[in-house]
Amino acid sequence: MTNDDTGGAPRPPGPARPAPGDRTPEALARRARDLTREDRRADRRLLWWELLVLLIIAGLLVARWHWLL
Amino acid sequence: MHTLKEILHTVAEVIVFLGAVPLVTAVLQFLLIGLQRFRHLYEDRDGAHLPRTAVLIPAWNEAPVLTASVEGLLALRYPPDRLRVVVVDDASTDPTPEVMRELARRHPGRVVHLRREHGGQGKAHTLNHGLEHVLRDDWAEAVLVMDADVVFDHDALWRMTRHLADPGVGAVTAYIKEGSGRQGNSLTRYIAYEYITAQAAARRAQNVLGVVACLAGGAQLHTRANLEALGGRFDTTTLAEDTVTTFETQLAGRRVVFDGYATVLAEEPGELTGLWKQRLRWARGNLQVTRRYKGVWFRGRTARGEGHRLGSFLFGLIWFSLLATPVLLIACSASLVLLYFTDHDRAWTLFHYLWVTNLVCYLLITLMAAVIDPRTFRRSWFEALIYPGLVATVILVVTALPGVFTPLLDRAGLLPSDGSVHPVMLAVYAWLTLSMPLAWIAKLLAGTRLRRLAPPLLHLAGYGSLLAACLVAAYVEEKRNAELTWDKTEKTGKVAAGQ
Repeated sequence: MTNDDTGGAPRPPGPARPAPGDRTPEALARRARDLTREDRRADRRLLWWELLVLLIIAGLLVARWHWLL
Repeated sequence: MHTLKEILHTVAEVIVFLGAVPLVTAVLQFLLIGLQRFRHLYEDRDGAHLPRTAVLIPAWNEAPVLTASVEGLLALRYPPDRLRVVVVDDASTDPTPEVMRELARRHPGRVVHLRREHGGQGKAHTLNHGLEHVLRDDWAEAVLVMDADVVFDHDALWRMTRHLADPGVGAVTAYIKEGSGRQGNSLTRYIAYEYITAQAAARRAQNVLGVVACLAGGAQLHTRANLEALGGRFDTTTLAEDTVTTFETQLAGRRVVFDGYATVLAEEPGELTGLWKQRLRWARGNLQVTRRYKGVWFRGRTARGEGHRLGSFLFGLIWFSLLATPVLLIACSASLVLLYFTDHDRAWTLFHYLWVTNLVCYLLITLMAAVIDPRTFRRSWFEALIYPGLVATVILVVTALPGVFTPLLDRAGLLPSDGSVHPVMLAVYAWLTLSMPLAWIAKLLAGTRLRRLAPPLLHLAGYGSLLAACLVAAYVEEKRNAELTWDKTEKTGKVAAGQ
């Protein structure tokens, strides 16, 4: 019924995940720490992706201006 | 006379570019999302913040999905002794009471079944019944409000609760994703793509701006203090109780946070009639909210002094550019057509610049959507490409490669030098407006014997045009003061079944 689809921005392979049944406070705290670190990394990566997308579009516009008009 | 004509043309030129405002505003939001890293939303505060959480589920005839929903919730990665589920049965006429009795028996103390004998007043009334029960004792430190058919990711709840470690945060919302997966159709894939832009992207941008427009009705987490400050009740006077709650939370000086990594799958309408009903309700709700908070908009300085950013210029621009989309598109088309009749060359130049602007926005939004949620994008890439409609996509391609297409248009006689009017060009200039009634016709056909014509017509007109047409209908209904009815969207439970 539940799913592990975390969606969101692309992220690196995460730390080893405990079984869904492992819900002791220690296991949860460890997992929260690891996944929060992943989320932070994904957030940082989003900015670089955005800059790359802007570069691509700028490149396309320049190409259009010079060769396709 | 000549001066008057020039003035008229200049005004028309400005209005033409107003047609690009909704897309440009969307792009502004997309440009902000990369800055979320500087908001430090995901700082590791104390490992895991796990308040005692009561989950509130309003249910009307939800028997087919309830067992899966409740069992799924209880299996979330969250300490079992810190999670309770309260289902408020809104006078269901199906086996919901029996299903709930069995669940309460199976999980004593963790699952509560409340029943309203006289229901049908709407979701907010149902929620208030449950909220009264939850706030009666001091067990719950946080309350998660969700729909009966949504499916939480295993880690979604603690990802949401981690923000509550910050005492300034009053509520958190998650990323609702269209959950039909392979069982979906082109309409659900349109919605899946729409949610990348309208939720994953737009709400990240709102995090950056420090103001969130709406807590998703299907997944909103509140602190107890926030709910108590709101009077322990959700608003029952509008069709948008979730947006009112969001505004009230922020007006009271508490922050609302969107967590794009806490994901929730929801079942969305798979046919046009259901989608229209749902979006009409949302659009009318937003119009009601706009009126209700008329003293808040564009009051930047005062608003900041009061501890919220609802009055900021950018937030107002985002809110109103969306609400004014149909008006802006109609004004833009009308100006282009006027110029086409009076000054061909100027009309063609403006049309070209307008669509180059649209093309840049379209490319940026599409590429960023692919980056933000690649998995959903892989499923809905075709719908993403034709999201503005096939006709608009063709115009975008022609605009992108004028060196290739202008000679072809010339040869076809679409760009006559003698100033004569060509009906095809007239339709192209007016397309931003024409696409709206066309999308509306698609919706009308969906409920008739000609329903097979609805999808191709929608592809032609565009999903965005359908939403704009729905907004026009909402304006009309609000103007007529049409009765406020809570039409529940039909759910089949396919999301839960698919997991």
